[in-house]
Amino acid sequence: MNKREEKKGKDSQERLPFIRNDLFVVPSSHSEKPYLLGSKCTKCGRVFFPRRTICSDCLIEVALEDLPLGRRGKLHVGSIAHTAPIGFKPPYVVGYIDLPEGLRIFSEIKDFQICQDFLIPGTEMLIPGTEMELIIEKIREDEEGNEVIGYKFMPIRKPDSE
Amino acid sequence: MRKVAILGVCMTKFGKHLDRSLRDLGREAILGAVKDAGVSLKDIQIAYVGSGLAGLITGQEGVRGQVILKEVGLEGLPIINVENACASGTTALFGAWMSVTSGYCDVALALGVEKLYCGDTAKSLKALATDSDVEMEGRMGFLFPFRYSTTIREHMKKYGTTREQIAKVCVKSHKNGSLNPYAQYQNEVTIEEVLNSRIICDPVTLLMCCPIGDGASALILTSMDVAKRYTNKPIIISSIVLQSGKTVNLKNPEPMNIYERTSRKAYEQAGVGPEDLDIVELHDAATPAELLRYEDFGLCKKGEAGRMVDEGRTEITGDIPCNTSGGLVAKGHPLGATGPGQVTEIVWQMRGQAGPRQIKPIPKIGMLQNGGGLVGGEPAIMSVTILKR
Repeated sequence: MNKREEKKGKDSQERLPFIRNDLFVVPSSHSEKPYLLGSKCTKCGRVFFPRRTICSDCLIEVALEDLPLGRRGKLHVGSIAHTAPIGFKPPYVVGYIDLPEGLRIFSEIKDFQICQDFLIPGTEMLIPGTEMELIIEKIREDEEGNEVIGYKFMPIRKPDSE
Repeated sequence: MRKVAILGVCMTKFGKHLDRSLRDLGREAILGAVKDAGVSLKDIQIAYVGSGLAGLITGQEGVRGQVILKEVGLEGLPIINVENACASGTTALFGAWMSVTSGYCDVALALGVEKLYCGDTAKSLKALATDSDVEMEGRMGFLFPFRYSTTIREHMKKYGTTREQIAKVCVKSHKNGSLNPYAQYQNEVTIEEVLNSRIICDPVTLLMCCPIGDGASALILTSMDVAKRYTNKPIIISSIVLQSGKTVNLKNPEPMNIYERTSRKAYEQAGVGPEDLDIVELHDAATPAELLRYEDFGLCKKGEAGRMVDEGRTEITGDIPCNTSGGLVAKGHPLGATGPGQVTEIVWQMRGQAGPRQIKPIPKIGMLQNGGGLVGGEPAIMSVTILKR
């Protein structure tokens, strides 16, 4: 088989679209916990997620270094979605999490049952400021039934309680 | 930079057009705008064709503009295909404006055209998810109503804005839509119906969300020299601002949000302020957005959107009518056609052609805002345009 045929054979097997695989790191050692991977500008210190090659503020080609992001953040705002894109089963909870590096990221929040304890009374909104912890797990199944692994956050305690 | 006039406008009825092609919808809009302007197809020197998701839905992902324009015989001229999510149409307008203001040509066509209905709602919703970063928000279950839910919730908490006030805006949109023969929904609704419709993402209910839709709208832009040959009352583009969103940085936050940034720049370039506006068409993909934009655009002070609603200031009979067309919620939101459709409404209002929803006295200065997508925590693209007669 020549090189071109070899390549053709490989492409035809890759049915899934390319999805970036640098959003998070799951250490091989079970004692270390997974983390999101960002980039830090070596000139101004601004942190980005996901990783990128050039800082928007500096716009010069200085190296951005990989930075493991803090695993805990605070909920900026969160709410229950009663309609869902393909692969998600409503109701599910979504929100924006503020990370200590100055990032605000969108994430699914685990999960509907757990979040019932963190709602603002009389609403379907989560209590802002709730401390959240990163988890990496299945977020949905694609149309062919394959698991899609991604990041989520899970509430760990209410802002006003211990 | 030369002054640019909007000489001709046209839109199809927005709605579910399962039996109509992009070519068919585009044809109606283009021929209508050419007739409205009084020019000939031969006069068009450049064309910008904006669609958001029609490629994914119909399979015509490439060269849509050429395929559509051939239907009306337009060949050989520069055709530029534009995609910018829900703001694809005003991005096409921006291109057409640049072509005329720069002196490159005297007559430009901006067409917005869309098909979102395909008989498979899941396919349409999947296509809509591609207006975010598909490897980020799109992958993690982001839906646009969620954003409207959370932003209005912050506002409710901070300023005491109520569900009833949000519902009142939705009632206004449907009332205006009922007066617009081009609107997708032409039925009135009550506050109770709005609040009791299915919850999508609290406090956003089904009736507060715009529908998906099909449709087209075309605009003919010309230099002032050409415009004066056809009319003695040309409508002029006073300013047009197009900006992409920025990644949120909590350690050094932007002093203004993207709606404030684009509208302030548009006011500055047009030499007007919010108090000078007689009509506003704004991007209410879900009703809560409308209340927030009142404040972002300086139509009222921060925190006073609810009061503005209670006072009826943005009704057709109010001092600053907003979304007289019915807005995205009632008129419909065929992504690429939405922005040119907003222009069409303002032009009709400024010419006194808006029928039962005509603002009196006839407006002189109008503003439209059309945004699209979401990347890095802000809308991916935002445009604000100010028109004067």
